[in-house]
Amino acid sequence: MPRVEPQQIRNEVETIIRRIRPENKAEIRNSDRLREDLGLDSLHSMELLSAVTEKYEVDVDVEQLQEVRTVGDVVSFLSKLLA
Amino acid sequence: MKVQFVYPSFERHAQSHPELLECVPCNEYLGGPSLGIASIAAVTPPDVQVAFHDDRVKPLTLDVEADLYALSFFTPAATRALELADMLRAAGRKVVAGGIFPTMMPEVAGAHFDSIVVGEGEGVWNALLSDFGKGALKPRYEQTEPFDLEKLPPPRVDLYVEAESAALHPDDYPLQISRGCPLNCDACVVPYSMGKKVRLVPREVSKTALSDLAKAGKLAAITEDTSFFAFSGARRHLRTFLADLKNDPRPRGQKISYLGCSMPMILSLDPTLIQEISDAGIDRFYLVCGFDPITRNAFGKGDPDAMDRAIRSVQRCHEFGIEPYTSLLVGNETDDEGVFDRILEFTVKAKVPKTEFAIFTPYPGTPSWHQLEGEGRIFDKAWKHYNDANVVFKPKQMSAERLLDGYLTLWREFYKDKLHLAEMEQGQRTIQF
Repeated sequence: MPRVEPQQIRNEVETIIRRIRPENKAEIRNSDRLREDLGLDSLHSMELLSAVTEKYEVDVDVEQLQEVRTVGDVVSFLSKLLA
Repeated sequence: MKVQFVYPSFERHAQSHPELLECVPCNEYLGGPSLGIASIAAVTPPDVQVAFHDDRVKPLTLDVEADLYALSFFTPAATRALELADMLRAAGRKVVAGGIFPTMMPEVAGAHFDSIVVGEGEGVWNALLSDFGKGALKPRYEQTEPFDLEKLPPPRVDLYVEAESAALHPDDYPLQISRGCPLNCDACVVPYSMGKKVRLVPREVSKTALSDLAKAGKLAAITEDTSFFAFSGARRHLRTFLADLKNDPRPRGQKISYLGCSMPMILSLDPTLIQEISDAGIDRFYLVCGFDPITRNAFGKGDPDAMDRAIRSVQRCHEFGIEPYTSLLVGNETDDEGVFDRILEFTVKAKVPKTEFAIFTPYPGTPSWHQLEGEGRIFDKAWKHYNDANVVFKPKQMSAERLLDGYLTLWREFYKDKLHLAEMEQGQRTIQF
């Protein structure tokens, strides 16, 4: 997999969030917390991470995701994996 | 050497409550055995003769002779399995066991068998057979690490098919494309019996298993919600399986009897994946409710947003042309006495065509089992009652009697205006109860 720019990952993450929570029309910021600010429950979060990791063909284990809380965390986590 | 595999019988809902037969206009689903015996038979050396007996169809007697009896069972079958072991050993026969119950309750099972297998059996079965041949059977064989699925042969489902009779000829048998789960659902035993890491059944093994079923004129039954997630590449693996399934020339609905998953997952799932599921010819989801926070909040607490999402999950199945067959659980810690009315309201609003109802059961080895044991709330350890149709624990927000009455009322109320189901063809009118 060629290196993927963080902004590209950011765009992909936003697209997936808007797909799984279409009722969320507000701007999505990096500081937004997945659960509290964006209303993603555990299944939504799982789908977000599954979709984005599938997109970039990376395999993750659930233990690696414990610290992922915000949109920025997702982007940062994937950016490191794809660096 | 002859090994006699035995699948012990257990009570289904309609056996625990025969009155259900009066009010449910559907056929009872008596499915094929779990894959345990077929998987162990597949790794048995060819010079060992194997035979299969389904105790649900014909009770095992001492007339069935073998050098070694091998029972595989889950908790609902444990009462019968322990009885059979006692009967066989009293007659001087050698008996071993494996499966979920012996894995989760080795001390209980071990007291009744010459030897038990703890964990996945494929990795230790041949050592057990070798020791048995030498007269040196150990009391316990333990697979401490998850079995390497690269070494997994296709299951010997042919043993099940050969044993079919007029009393049992299932339309489908289980098919597995992964094992293990990293999640911590409090009522599920999978992470503790198969490990927390998702491991993928090799593509060729799944293809062969599917092909073997097709040759036997059988459908595959798949419960694979962990494959919807990305752990260990599981979602890509699922898409590959679906592509292989799409190439199976059998018509839609004639390949897979159902694909099981947690219901609210449907709502957030990538639409391309649901489309691939539909395109592969899968026309029924088996939707499990009551294990996840959304349906617990919807039915247990009456949360309107959660209820809306539960309803939309069912509607989304319809949008992709897939039947939403639901399994609705009552008795969770979040359930008050309003849960029964809320579930019926859900089935009406979501236009649920067919469903089954289940009572929360703290299966040994699950977090719920440990919690309720610790709180002294488990009052029934007759394992045959651990079949989702009996109350074996003290519910948090109602009496055990109220929970059982509510469960039976759900069956009666849901099906009272659905007598037309009896007119449907067999596969369509068959449900699990």
